[in-house]
Amino acid sequence: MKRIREWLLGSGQELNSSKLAVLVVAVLLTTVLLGNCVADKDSKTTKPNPRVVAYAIQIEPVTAEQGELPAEFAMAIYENIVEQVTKSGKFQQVFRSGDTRAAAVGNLLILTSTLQSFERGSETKRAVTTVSGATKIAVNAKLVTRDSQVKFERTVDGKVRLFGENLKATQSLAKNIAKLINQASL
Amino acid sequence: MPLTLKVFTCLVALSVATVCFAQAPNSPAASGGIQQATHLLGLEAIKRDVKGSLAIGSDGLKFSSAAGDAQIATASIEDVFTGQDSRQTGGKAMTVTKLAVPYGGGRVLSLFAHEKFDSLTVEYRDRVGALHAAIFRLRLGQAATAKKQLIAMGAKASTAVEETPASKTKDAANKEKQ
Repeated sequence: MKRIREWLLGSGQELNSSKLAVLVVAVLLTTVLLGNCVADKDSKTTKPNPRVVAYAIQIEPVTAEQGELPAEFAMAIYENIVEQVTKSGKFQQVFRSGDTRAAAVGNLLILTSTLQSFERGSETKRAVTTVSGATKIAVNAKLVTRDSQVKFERTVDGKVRLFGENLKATQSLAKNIAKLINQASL
Repeated sequence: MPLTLKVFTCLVALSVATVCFAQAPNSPAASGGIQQATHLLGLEAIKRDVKGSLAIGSDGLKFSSAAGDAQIATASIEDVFTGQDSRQTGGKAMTVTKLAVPYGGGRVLSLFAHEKFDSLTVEYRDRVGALHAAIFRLRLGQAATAKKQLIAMGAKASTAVEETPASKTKDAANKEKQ
């Protein structure tokens, strides 16, 4: 404060108008910036998700013919869908397959997915050629109510084209499913 | 000067605390079948792609790492699967290096910078019956051993232990000797 007073008054006792203007602008800028920070913090903590629907969701693992989809891919798809749907915040509750608590929930949607196609690529092939060796998965995702009313049905695919392990395709697939469900009007 | 001293003291305290937290002791692994593994996904308490050790004991499967520990009780295991895949080694540093090598030299590097690995998928249910799956990356040929150990400990498995090509080759070599 003493330094500021010295800088403002200089050698004399009269206030330098240009320096005062600089000080006012600085104070205003600080206030605005601080205000924005507080507002951002408030909006992050208290803003409700406008897209939350009056449903809970139960996610079932991918069904496929035996030997068509390796177990690690099937379970990775399931785990990734659970993660992505939970992250989307669209549903009031997210239940895993077999969760006994889901039985007590009235508005429950069940997400089932059936394998359409699976092509296992090779990360080395992708790195060497950059055009071949992609891993591709396509599933038919369906959201149904308890009384078998279909609310959403779409064929969704996931792939890894260049960087990343083959299992990364399951993450891409789950993201796409969660995105489409999020956009759907239920 | 006093302010500088305070800041310095704070920084020293912060770094000491960081080191202390980083060196938090890990709980010891279970008795049998300890092997190096990477947690790919599924264990809620542990982040993805964390390296650690996998121990199979009478109380179940335990994954221990610097980031934390997680355990799956044998009784809760519904199924165990093994698989095999390959990947590029060297991580992000190698990827950047490959991109930086001129005249497509990075692609040649890719031909040599790869490894095969085994994957171990464990399906289990929690207290409320919810289905979970944990996937681990193991060294080639180790997933079958881990599955055998889990079955021996009482874990359920819908399929028999799959023989990996590595173990098949060893068996063939033994037959030829005989």
